[in-house]
Amino acid sequence: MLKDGYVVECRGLSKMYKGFPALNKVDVQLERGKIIGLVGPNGSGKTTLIKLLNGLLVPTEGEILINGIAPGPETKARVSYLPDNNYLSNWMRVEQMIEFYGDFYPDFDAKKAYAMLESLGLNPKQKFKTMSKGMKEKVQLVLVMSREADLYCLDEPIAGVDPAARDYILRTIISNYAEGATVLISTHLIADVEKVLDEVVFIRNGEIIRHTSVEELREKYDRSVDALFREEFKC
Amino acid sequence: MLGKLLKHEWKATARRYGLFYLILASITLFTAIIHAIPVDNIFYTMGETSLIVIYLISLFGVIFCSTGMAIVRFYKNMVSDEGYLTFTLPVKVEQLVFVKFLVAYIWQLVTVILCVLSLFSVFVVGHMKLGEFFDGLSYLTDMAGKMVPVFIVMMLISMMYQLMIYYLSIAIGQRFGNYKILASIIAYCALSFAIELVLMLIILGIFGAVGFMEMAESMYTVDGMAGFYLMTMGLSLVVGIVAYFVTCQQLKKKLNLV
Repeated sequence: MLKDGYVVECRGLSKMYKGFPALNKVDVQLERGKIIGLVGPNGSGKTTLIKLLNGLLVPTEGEILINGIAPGPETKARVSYLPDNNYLSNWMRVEQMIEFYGDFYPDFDAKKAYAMLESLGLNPKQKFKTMSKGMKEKVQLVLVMSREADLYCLDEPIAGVDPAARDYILRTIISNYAEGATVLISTHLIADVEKVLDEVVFIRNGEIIRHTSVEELREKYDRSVDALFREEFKC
Repeated sequence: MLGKLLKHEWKATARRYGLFYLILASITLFTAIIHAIPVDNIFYTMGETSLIVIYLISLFGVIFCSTGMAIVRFYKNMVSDEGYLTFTLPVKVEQLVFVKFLVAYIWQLVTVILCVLSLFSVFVVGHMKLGEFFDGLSYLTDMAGKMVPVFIVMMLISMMYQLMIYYLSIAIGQRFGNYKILASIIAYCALSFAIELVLMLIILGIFGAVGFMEMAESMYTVDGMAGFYLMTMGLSLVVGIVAYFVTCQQLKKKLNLV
């Protein structure tokens, strides 16, 4: 697998739903070792792009490459994905899901997962059906961040949690991702996430309108990313 | 990876089927005991007859629910929220579909075998000697001749064919986003009708090539009838295999997890 070059490349990527372009000829390249914010209002195409990266949707047009190859079993072994909804089977206990991850992902570190669960105060023997939504989201985050992936795709990781937990989740993300890996965080809560970002990609109506480093953005516009976002996307 | 998929599929399905079989065992035991007690009382006999009817309906229900569980399992784990995990595993789509099919098929086979054992327990145990039972069975088998293995093959292929048509319907239905359940049902109806029509045309074509009169006459013999059923099952097997590949193709090229 190609380790030089970009971890993600999209060329002319489009996804149509009943004639409506959820993504429209997107060209974007994501470098290795960066924390990248994918920011845009609701319905801008963030989740569609992330699902395409993970092979959960098929492009209508264009090309999407991860480590130089199209999404498939090889890329799925190197990409760790946190969706914005709950995918856990209610009948399972946390420790059973840890075993499941350990079986399918060679890069999964079960010890790390148990350590994170302990620090979050989560019981590995608890069944998912007895957990609150917030607890399930934390477990999903633990599972995803316990992998040594090349690319972490986190779709709205802090949307459903309280402000106090948001900082903890961001610290968990920053301190647990694999060295040299890329973290792609999709969010509309930019103020919370901004401090950890290296780069930011602005997306609106399925089109990339800006892709730049956070530092360059602040220097050029003398504003925070959040302030610029509010200006760009004001209703 | 196939072994791991099988392991987890067994674990995920065993709990439901296990509970199911426990219920079947309880119904069987209760009915067998009531049926075995010789009470010469009209009200008891009426109650016992009603219980037997309920028991037989329950058996149909067990087989029906077994199929239902296979369909629900495929739908939930492949194209609803759990699909976000299933389709991000580093495995091929062909492996995912194959494992779902294999485990569901084995559970259905186990269900049929347990239903047969249940019938044996209720109607044979305590009512006739084993020797008498096997003599009777041997007599029926001799009468039916080739039809016994033919019916067994028919049942095995029919189970496979039906499962794959359900899976294909769901694979087509998932393309329709928020209407995937309705689309799956419509796909199932359309597929069933289209396949039956095509199979009928093929069989009519074969009849026409051989000669309608010759074929009609052969149907009056056991060999002829067995040959006819095997031919239709052969066609069903081919359709089932094609359905597997089309299901995989739909989930690979047209996946639409929304």
